[in-house]
Amino acid sequence: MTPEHISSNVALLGYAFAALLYLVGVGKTRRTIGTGNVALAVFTAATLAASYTVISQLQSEQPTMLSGLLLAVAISWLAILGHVKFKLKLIGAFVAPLATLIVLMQFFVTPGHPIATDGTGSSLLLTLHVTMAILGQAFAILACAVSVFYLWQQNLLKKKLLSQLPQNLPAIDRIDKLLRLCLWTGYVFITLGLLSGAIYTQLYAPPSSWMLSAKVVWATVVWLWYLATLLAQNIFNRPSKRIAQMCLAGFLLMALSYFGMGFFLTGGP
Amino acid sequence: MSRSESVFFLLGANHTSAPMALRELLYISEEPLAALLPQIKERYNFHELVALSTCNRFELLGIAPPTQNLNALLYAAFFELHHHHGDMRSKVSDEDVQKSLYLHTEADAVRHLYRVASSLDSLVLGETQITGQFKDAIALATRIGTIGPTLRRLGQDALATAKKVRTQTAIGKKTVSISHAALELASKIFGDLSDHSFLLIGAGEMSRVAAKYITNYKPKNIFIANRTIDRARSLVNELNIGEAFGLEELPGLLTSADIVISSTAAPGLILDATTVKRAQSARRGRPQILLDIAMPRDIDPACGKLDDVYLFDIDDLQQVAAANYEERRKAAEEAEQLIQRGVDQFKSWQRTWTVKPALAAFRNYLDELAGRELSKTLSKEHFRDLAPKQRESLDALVTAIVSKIAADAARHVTNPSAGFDAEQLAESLTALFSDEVELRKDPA
Repeated sequence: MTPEHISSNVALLGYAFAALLYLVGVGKTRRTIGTGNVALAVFTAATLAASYTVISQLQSEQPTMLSGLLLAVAISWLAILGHVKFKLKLIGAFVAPLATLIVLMQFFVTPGHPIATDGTGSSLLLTLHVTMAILGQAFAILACAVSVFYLWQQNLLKKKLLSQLPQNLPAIDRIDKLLRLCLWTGYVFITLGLLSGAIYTQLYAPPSSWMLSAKVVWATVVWLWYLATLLAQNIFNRPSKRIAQMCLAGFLLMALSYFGMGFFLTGGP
Repeated sequence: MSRSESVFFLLGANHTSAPMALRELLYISEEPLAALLPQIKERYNFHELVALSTCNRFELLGIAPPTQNLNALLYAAFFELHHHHGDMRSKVSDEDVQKSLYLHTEADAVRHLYRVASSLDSLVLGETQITGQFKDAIALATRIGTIGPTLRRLGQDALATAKKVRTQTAIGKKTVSISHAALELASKIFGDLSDHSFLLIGAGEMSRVAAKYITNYKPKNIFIANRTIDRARSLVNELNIGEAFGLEELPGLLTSADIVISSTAAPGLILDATTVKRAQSARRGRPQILLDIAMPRDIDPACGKLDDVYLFDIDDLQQVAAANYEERRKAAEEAEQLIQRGVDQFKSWQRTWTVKPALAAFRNYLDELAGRELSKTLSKEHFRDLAPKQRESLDALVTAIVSKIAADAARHVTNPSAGFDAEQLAESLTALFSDEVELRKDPA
């Protein structure tokens, strides 16, 4: 068993255990915040193990072959940032199970064939495309998690169930601001991912066969959906509740695109 | 109650035993109290006397002389103090007042006092004002010379326990006032309130209290809108912060204000849903909190149905205050344990303090006895040739035995669980050994 195998197993077990700990702490009061700290520690350890695996394997594998692990690592680091900087202590409850699922799928599903690259330029562009696309997806996942917390807290406030307000979530105004930040940042990365993918196609791959493949169509639909969400928020002044609901729908669209088409990279970058 | 020794007592009335009207009659301000307390202490031969007089309680605490009828003495002193102060008798009979009084003695009195100083006996559980009032009462008694070492020590210990209760339990952590609860709720929605603008509708007492709390958060802006703009201006001047407006400017102010607190005495609604909805549209989805602390309500309940608007009325805020009160009540249970520990410590100190002179007499007696017996022994024929070092060793041995006997006796006597009556024991020891020492010193 190689060190990468050990670290990927540690990552999987760590994510699963952290998910369990986080779920124990959801909606609980300050007594379970201690559990939340342990969960964060376990989650961080799992993320470090996953990061080590990715860094080790990137030396011999294309980023496209590690897209699952890369996504898990990206959302995990963003979640840790959200926990530490924005006091979003329950973010792990959403991200840890998702990271477990992604790493698990990476374990059980054999990835497709690597994409043939044509020199350094092609390889760099491919790496850029994968990085942008994965960061875009990571922010979209984070926006979805933040939306869940927004809707949960808003529902409690509207129903005036003040005693049930979770102690381990920041104020709703702060969550709202974080949601806007995730949405904008995610949209920028998704756009850059699409553009770099389109340029790669124009330069290094024949466009005729897969420009209109299901993957490209779905990626464009996701991009359009997030564009609509931003327009709803900034041009049509839709309330934050609607924006949060649109983020949830966007995540579902993206999950369909990612798990349905993108995970095995059968249709190109 | 009949007692053969002096007794620590606490006699008084508070918000639970007496109605507001009676408490108003019982209240005596500082200066008359300063004049009357020494007279009462003198007249009734109290060893020490302190009065705690606030709007919620009047309590006399002191050390009374040995008497066969303690209750009668204390009630007489209490009523005489109040009859000298004002015309209480014309408004209510002494018998009726007596029904509202409570009397605690010894450990019960100490416990009550610790609870008062720690704010466990207050109308608003955990409020801090009473601790300051308690300090003032001790300071007054010190100034007029009615306090002695026992009550001074008791006061210090009660304040130390109050500090422990405040720092080691959650008794004061959660607010129980409506205005403060409103801001606590606002911080749940906005987090840091310093980045936000406040709009106060109304310039009455509730607004004034709320505004004072708000200034602690150092907000971005405070707008005060009132039907008569002059009252709004005078509140702005008093607070030295904010801007004053008339009610006609509310629609514009609503677009800028993140937190709106309304507390006018208007009989109808001040803010309707249409105005708030229009403002909300201009706010581009930024959340807004409306806190209606007026009775009758100022804000249309339909505003609460608007997206990104969070409306809370006085009932909701009372729910927050009540939940906080419940937390304070739980903290009070922890505080009771701290108080019990404080009471035990005071009793132990009091016991030691009471028997200290007697123990000193006992120790003197032992020293005298040992010294005399040692001299007698050393003067005998077969001890005359002892070397100085041997003499010193013998002296040290005798001193060590005496110290050990005295220390063991002190430990047993000052141990509260030993069941001795400290005062009686002190008297007996003093009588036995002081006389004995004197007798032996001067046999003639």
